[in-house]
Formats: sequence, structure tokens, C-alpha cells
Amino acid sequence: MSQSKDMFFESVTKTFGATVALENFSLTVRSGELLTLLGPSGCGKTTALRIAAGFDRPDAGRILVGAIDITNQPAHRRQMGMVFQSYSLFPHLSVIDNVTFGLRMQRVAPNERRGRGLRMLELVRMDGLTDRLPHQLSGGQQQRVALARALATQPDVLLLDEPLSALDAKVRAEVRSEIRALTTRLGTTTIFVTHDQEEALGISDRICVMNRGIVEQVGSPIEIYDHPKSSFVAGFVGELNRIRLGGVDLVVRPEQVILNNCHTADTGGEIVATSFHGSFMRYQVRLDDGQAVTAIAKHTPGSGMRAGTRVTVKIGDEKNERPD
Amino acid sequence: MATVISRSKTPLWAWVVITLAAIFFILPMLAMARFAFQRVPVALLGRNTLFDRWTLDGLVDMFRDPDFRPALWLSLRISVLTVALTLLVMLPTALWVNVQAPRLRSMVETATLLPYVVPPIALVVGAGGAFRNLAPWFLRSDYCLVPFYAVLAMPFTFRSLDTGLRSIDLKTLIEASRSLGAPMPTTLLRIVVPNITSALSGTIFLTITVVLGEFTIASLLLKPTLPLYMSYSQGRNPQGALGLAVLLLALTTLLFFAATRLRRRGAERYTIRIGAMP
Repeated sequence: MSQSKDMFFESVTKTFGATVALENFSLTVRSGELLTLLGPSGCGKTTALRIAAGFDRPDAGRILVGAIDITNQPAHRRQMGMVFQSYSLFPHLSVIDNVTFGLRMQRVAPNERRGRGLRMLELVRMDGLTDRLPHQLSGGQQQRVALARALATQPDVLLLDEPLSALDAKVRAEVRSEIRALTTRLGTTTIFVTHDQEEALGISDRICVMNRGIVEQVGSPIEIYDHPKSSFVAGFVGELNRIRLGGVDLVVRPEQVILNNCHTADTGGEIVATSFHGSFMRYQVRLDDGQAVTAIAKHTPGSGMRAGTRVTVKIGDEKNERPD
Repeated sequence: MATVISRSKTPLWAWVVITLAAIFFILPMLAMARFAFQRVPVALLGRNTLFDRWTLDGLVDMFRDPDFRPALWLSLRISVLTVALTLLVMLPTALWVNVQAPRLRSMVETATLLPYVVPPIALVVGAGGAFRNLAPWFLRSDYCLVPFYAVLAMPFTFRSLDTGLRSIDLKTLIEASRSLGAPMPTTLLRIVVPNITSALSGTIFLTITVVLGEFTIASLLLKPTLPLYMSYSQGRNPQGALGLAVLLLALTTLLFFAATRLRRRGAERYTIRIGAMP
């Protein structure tokens, strides 16, 4: 395996016409880590990835891999592996030919090429389907082959552009853990782009939350979730209640809201809607003063409450400081 | 999980329409063939003489004509060059429209339609006037027809290529290939071209058809191409000229069927493989 390298975005700015996609964007991706660019659509995360890949040129700033400035290097000279949102396997090539295409470009001898391709396919558990054509594979299989293809050339950095968004929920979870396992095993520096905060929390070593072309916060998933630096981060990562209780403004995660069944109708409110999610239950509560609160409670048999139930509302643990 | 692509049955009325259309097109060709290959006076070409005196003499005479081969050879050379020029210009144009400037598609489409709007005679008179002053050697060369024909074929060739490129996820395929280390020319040759083969063969066929059928421009510029030769030799050897026309028709039809057969065989290979999936 090639030595994995740090990657740096240095004050990268990119505009498309009047739209600023990235503004003075600086970020260090550490060797071997999986860093997620997370943000709403239009936040610049895909632009950052495309600039890393060499598909777009920045207006200002530099991109470095290790100590080498690759800002002006064309895409095909960069050592980047990329997996795309849409299925991107070459339709006319078999699975093995797709995976070995990059090695072929590097003029690796045919025998060695095939061996390395097969090894990659084993890693993504696709070694039984080497001679299939892409259209004979399911979506999940196609993305696993795409992953193998991107990693076969042992790239400096692996770029993943919402690779799971075309897959259905179950396959998505499967491929997600596969990506994580594989990049950890190979020690590949990875940038993962997504707008799905749950995906980001689940897969990343670190998350870079972006909004309108700037970095809002960089940190581990737990840091981002527990100590959001801005109300944007707090609102975008995980769910958030903004309520005023006892004259104090509070920002509270739904799982910190504790509901108790109560028959004396003094403090609290009423459950207006419920939804069951298997391991947890989600309640929409309207407080007596009209404010809306969302609460999440772990589900145990017999614990569920119905819409219309009167409840008292308490805020659990200490974490109720307001960011900003 | 066996996926079977079933070919839907063609309804009866469709066959009726196809048959009528076939008769409409084939009868005149049969009449042409009889005129060309039967040594029977035209007035006597009826049902009774259907099998009388079939001969290839007219065609053989034509092949022996010293002017015939140069005309055929010229048209073939011009065909090849026109195909080359068309691919050289139109493929990058269609790629550019699809990858870089999808917003300019309607403009480019309109531009490629210009040959429909500008009559060939206007094209020749206009271009002729310009070139006579700027580069007189250009119009003297037989190959000056090549750019004219590439322009004439443009309405067909651009659309064929554009449709082919739009049917694949071009941008992603190009980017995937580039990120795997393939420079642009390699990407075009190894990734794009193999995925638009039917559009390419369509473009090539349409271009050849235009070259083999064009008369006005060749006539105005006095270039002895095959269509021109056929037209002139009609007076000297009407049977031979029509025989050649029939032959050309048959040849292009055969080519066309061969192309579709090839394409269908490719599709069947896919079907069988899918059917064999566990």
C-alpha cells in the first residue's frame, strides 16, 4: 500500500457566476482518516470535492497532497480515487475490466493487473461476479465495484461524492459499513461528502460542517453533536428544540426532553402526534403556552404514550447552554 | 433472479401498414430492375415477359466505360474523407455541447439545421465567390466537395451523435475515467466511443448516403462524382445507369440490415447473459 498522505485545502475560493461556492475554505484532512464534508445542498461540499479531484479549478487558494501543490495538476495526473453519486461503472467493460482500468492506465502488466483487481474485488465481496457487465449488477453491487475500482490504484486520497444516495436504506447501511471497514483496513485518507447527518455521524473520524461555502465547524462526530459551535451546526446535525422555559432560552436535543405521564394538568402539555421507529418513539408535544417540542424516548414494551396524553416536560442533564 | 426481456408482439394492423409501405417502395424498384436488366422493349414489359431475356449487359457495359471507375473511386474517396471530417468536427462539437455547454444546445442545433435552410445552389455560389478570390486552388481540387458534404450532412450527423451522447451519463463517465488516470484522448477512445457505437455507425452511414446521393453541388462545381456520372450516362446507357442505381440501393439496404443485425446480436448477448443469472 502506498503511504497515505495528509491533504490540505488552503484558502480555496471558487465562484460560479454570482454564486460563491467556496469562500476562503481551509481544511486539513489527516493521513488515514475519514473526513466527512457535511452540509445542505449548495453549501460547497461537492465543489470542494471536485476541486480536490481536479474537475474544477479554484479561483484562488491551493490544494496540497503531502508537500506537493497539485492545484494546477490535471485530474488524470492526480492520485485520487473517486466514487460518484450516480452509477459510474463503464457500461461496456466487465467488472474486472472496470476495476483494473486505472492499473491499465498506469501500465501495470496484465497478470499483475488481474491479480490486484481480483484482490480488490475480494475485499468488497464481489469476486464471484468478475465477468458480469455493470447493468447485470444491483445498485449496491455497482457501488461496491466502483469502490474497488477507485481503490485499486492505491490513491493518495479517496473521494466519495454521496456514494450511497442512490441506494435503498438497507443496502445503504451495508455499503456504508463496508466503506468504513475498507478505508480503515487500507488506511486510505478519505473525504466523504454527504448531506445526511446520520450518515456523517455514523461513518466519520471527523466531520467538517459547511454552510454557504464556509466551514462552520470541524470536529469528531461526538464533539459536533454535543458541542456545536454555532446554531447552524446545532440545527443541522441532529434535531433541535428551541424553547423558552421559566424565562430562559433553551436549545435541547429531543432525546434530552423527558416526558412523564401526568393526570394533574398543571405544568406541561399534550402529545399531539407520535411516530414509532422500532427502537425509539418520537413525540410531538404542544406545551400549554403554545410552544412545540419534539421528544424521543427509548422504546420498551408498554412504554408508549398515545396522542392526546397530558404530560409534564422536563429537560434532562446539564446540556442546555445555547450556542452562538 | 432471472430477468427476461420479452419482445412485445407486433399487432396485425402494424404488419398491414408495413406491407403496404413495402409495396409502395419496392414496386418501383422492381420496375427499375426489370428495365435495367431485361433486354425487352419497354412497351412489352408486361406480365408475359416477366422471365424473358434477363441480362447484366447494361451494367457490364457501364463497368467497362473508362469514365465509370474514376467516378466511383472519387465518390468513395470523398465519402471516406467526409466521414473523417464529420467525425473530427462534429464529435468534439457534440461532446462540447453535452459536457461543457448544455445551455447552448438549442443554438448549435439550429446552426446544424442551416443546410436545410440555405439551398445548395446558394451555398455553392456564395462559397464559390469567396474562394475564387481567396483561394482559387481550393475549388480546382476535387476534394473541395468534402467540406460542402460535411456541412450538408450536419443536420443528420449532429443529431445522431447528440442522441448517442445523451443516452449515456457522459459527464460522470468522463470524470470517472479521468480520475483513474486516463487523459482526455484515451478517455474518448476507450470509454466514450465504445458506448456510442450505434450513434457512430449511424453517423457514418448517413454521411455516406449524403455523399452518394448529392448531385447539385458536384454538378455546379463540375466534379465527376458517381451521381453525376450516373446522371450523364443515362443518355448513353440508360439500362446501365438504372442498373447501377438498383445496385447502389441494394448495397445500402444490405449495409443497413447488416448494421441493425450486428446491433441486435449485441443486444441478444446481453439478454442471454441476464437470463443465465442465478
